[in-house]
Amino acid sequence: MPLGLAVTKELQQAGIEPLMGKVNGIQTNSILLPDTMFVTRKVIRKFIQNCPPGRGVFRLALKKGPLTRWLCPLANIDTNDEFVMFPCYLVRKQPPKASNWEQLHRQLSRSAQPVILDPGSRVTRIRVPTRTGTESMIPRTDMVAADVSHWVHLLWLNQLIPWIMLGQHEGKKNEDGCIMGDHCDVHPTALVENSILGDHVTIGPFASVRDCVLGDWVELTESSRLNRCCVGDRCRTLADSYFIGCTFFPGSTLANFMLRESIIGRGCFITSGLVFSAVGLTEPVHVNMHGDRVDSGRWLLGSAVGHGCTLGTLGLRGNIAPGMEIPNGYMIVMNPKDGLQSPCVNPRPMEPFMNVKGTATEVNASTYGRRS
Amino acid sequence: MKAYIFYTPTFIKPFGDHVSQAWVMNQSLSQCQQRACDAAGLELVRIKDLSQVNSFPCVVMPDYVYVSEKALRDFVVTAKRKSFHNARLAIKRCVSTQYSLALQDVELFDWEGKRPLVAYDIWLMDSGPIPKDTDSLRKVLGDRCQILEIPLRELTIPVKQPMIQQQARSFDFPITSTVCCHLSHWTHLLWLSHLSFGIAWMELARSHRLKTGLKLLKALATGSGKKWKILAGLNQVGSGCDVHPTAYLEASILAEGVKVGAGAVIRNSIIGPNVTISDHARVINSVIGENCLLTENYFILHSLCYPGSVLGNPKTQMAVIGRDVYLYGWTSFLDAKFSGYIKVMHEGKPVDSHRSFLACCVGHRAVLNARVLIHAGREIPNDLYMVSRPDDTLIDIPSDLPANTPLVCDRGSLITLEELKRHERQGD
Repeated sequence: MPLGLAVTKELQQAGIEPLMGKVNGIQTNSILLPDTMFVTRKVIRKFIQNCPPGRGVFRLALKKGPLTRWLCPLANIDTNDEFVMFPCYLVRKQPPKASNWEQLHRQLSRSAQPVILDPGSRVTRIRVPTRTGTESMIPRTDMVAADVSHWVHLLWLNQLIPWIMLGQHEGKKNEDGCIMGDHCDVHPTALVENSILGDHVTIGPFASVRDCVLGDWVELTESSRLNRCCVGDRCRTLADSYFIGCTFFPGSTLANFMLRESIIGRGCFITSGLVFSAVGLTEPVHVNMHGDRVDSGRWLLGSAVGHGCTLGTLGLRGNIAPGMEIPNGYMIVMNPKDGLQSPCVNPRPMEPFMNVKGTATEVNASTYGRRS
Repeated sequence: MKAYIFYTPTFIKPFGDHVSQAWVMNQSLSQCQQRACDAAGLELVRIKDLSQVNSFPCVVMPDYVYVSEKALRDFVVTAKRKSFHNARLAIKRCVSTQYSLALQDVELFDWEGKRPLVAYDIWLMDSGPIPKDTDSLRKVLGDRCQILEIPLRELTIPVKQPMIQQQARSFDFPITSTVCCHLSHWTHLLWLSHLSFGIAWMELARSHRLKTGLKLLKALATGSGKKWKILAGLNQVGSGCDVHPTAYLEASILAEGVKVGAGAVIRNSIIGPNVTISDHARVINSVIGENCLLTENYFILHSLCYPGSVLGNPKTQMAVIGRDVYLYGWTSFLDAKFSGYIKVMHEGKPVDSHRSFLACCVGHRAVLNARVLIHAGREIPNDLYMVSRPDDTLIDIPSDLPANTPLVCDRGSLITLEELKRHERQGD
């Protein structure tokens, strides 16, 4: 679901009436947060509980640990040695006058008293294929607050959603640790573990779904494998696809031999033949931010694909570097000459031919060879 | 009795390691030799040269010899039983000896005759003198020592190979624990890794007779006579292993601390300590060294992997992977030759490996992260760092290109297909 709707739901569950509006109509005794922020109900409840009584401005802070390490690179937050402060305030006095959020945030942050919460240090350690031999330590907590100002934050936040949702609905889990929607059709040979399935989800033979969230009407065909993915409504995977740590907006058709740590926009079509590199070999993966290439702090990170993209293949050798952003509506195809366009008309048995610029050419007659 | 293992300047290319550090049975060759000597009741003494042999009777062998526990023990016991005071270890011509014979520096006796034998450089001697020069060892001791054929039992399994040019191919895969080999080439490590499945199981069974017997009985009881069910019950799983319930293990040996993900398959393989086999990875007839990471959906077949590597190619078969290799990013190993045998470099020149199916050997610490094909039989040197060509990788995506228009990769960036064709027409 969209970020705004998710935050609204979480606030409602915490007993707070969400109001979208401008900064000049704020009343006292309000929670203030920008629309780029995500919080879970548990964080809001604990924040309100831990705020000292009396008038004042209180600011949400999380103790540094696995969660802040996971979510905070590139985030627009204030930090010190012990904790990370988010732009989320409880205002129990007349708020200062301001014309926009940045101004209000500056003024509130000067007088705010941080209220520090501990999201815990429980993690799932996963060995990742980086050269540095690092482990991913994915925080397992349902006390999550995040600034979502870049696509990487959306990706990293979505990788935590299974733990958040499973923690919130402990009683609804089945024996495989899953929460199943209505009218799901799961093939008996499929593996579904620690996941949340929406309604009308179809999972085909030998598919595997672990630590994932699948939206309504998602269809995973034969031998599709998904780990730590968040799949939007009405997405469909093609056979023998493999996705790890990806986020898919709704309505995409997805196929890939191995797509890691990437985010795919709404209504995309991705083929198996496209290779996304996701590993920084000599340095962490860099991403675009405010026009610059900046260090994401991660050695394993894929790319972001805009809405409505159609991505074919880049040919036998081509691949997409890690940390790329493909704008909305792009259609990438193979250079026609990378494929065989003109097969030989009358081949002789066992006479070898090779593809030279799209044309089947006799190996002996070819000019292709080593450069002098 | 002492077993003297003398130093020879034998180094395995492309690793550059001395042969005593060659990786066999998930151990170094020197550790294997120690184990074999212990099992045969011999006190191993490593010497720089043959002049240091000072205790008789003794067994003498160069440091490039791999000998299984059973082979060495049978050699000592048979020599004693037959009252051979000076003997040389030999094994009859059979599937297992021929399996690893290519490029080996061994002596063949009566090879096409009635009693063909392969003689290895393992000598039992009751007295000196021993030639000081290792080169003349065979000549001098060959006259003094009788050839002693050790008993051998082997099971062979017919394996079909791909049919090429309408020619059906198959070979017999041997399972035996009586193995000896002179190591001088990386292909020998590969052949030994294929044989290690049988050796390891027999050595395990001998050292833990009761436990293995009970395991076999249980597998037979639950297997209802079906071989696959019996094999699925025959696994040795070390302490601290974490095996997902949907993973499938068959006749494999897992050391301690191995992690096996969902849907992973491990068959007839030896897995070292603290290896991580991720979800849906498949390991078949392979030896995987300590602390390796096999990423999701990786497929490795008939291969040997030194410790500490990260492996994530689509498929690897018949390959030797060195220590701390990083193989991730669609580098593919060609592993077949349609006519004739695959050639490998040996002693500075290309020679037949006597195999049609063989991939390559990747040196230590190599980084292969490019979409390239590597020809069969090649040696990738240590520390090779291979990445994709910059013009093959999309590293710059302009944001002002038209939507829903075919775009192609051109020199690391995107241009429209129309523009590419225009450039080609203009001969750019």
